[in-house]
Amino acid sequence: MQIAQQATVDLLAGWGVQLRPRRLARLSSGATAVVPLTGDCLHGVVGLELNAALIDQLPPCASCSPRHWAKELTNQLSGRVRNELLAEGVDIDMGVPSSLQFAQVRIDTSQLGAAEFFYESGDGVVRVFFDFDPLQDPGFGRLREATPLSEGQSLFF
Amino acid sequence: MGTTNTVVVVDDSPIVRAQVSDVLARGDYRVLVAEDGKEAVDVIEAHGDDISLIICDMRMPKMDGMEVLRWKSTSAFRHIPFVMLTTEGCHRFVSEARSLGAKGWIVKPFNDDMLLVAARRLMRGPSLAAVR
Repeated sequence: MQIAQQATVDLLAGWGVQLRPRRLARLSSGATAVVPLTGDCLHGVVGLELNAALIDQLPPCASCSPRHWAKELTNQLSGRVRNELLAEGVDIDMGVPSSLQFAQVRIDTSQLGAAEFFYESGDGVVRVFFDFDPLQDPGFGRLREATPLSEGQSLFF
Repeated sequence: MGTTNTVVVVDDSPIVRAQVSDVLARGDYRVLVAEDGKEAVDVIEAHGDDISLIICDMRMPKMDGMEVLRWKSTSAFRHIPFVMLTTEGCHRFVSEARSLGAKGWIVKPFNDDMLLVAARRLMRGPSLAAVR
């Protein structure tokens, strides 16, 4: 979970939004998106909810709706998490992001494999949640492969 | 064919399409966009002779970036340089793309200057001399 928390902060910082952790919040407007994650060790989704005030802090994009922002940020967040897990030898596959016209996705955080955390920037709030079935021990470090490329890195052949 | 190089940008996210297009437009490139792999194939078939570079996302609905690359590798457009622009950093996929003829792999988020340098470096046609 620390991987996902740091990934969230780094991701939004890349878009010019500095996040601080905050306590549980109920988001009243904005957008939600989820990306499916599947692998030998888990099967579930990572999701992200943004309120309108957070979306207002993102760079202007004339043709972009709140749903587009939610999908793109969730896609980039799941990519960061996937790359971090790969570096630890845990391989999961990502699907294509789907947005939900603003929906309160309730997660039972008492269950193993479910978690959520919140950040704020001014009036902007972002909620990140995970909800997955842990299928087996992820085996951190057991399958370690070459360190994956990290965000912003490029290779030319 | 004019002197302005044409780049095809393929991404299902309008945010990324707008970002990449803005950067390339600042570099004086003509940009054609596609929202998924199937649309990319249509754009490439329609403008093939004018296209100097393809910048493509990997995970997209309908037809993903690797499928576009696989199609291109057996098409009449196999000579057009192809760069994957994706959140994916796994070497397994990088190797697959390379074996299919990709010329580059960039992990999002990209740096504007780096994207322009990459475009110049990989561009075929009129601008190649300028890069040298």
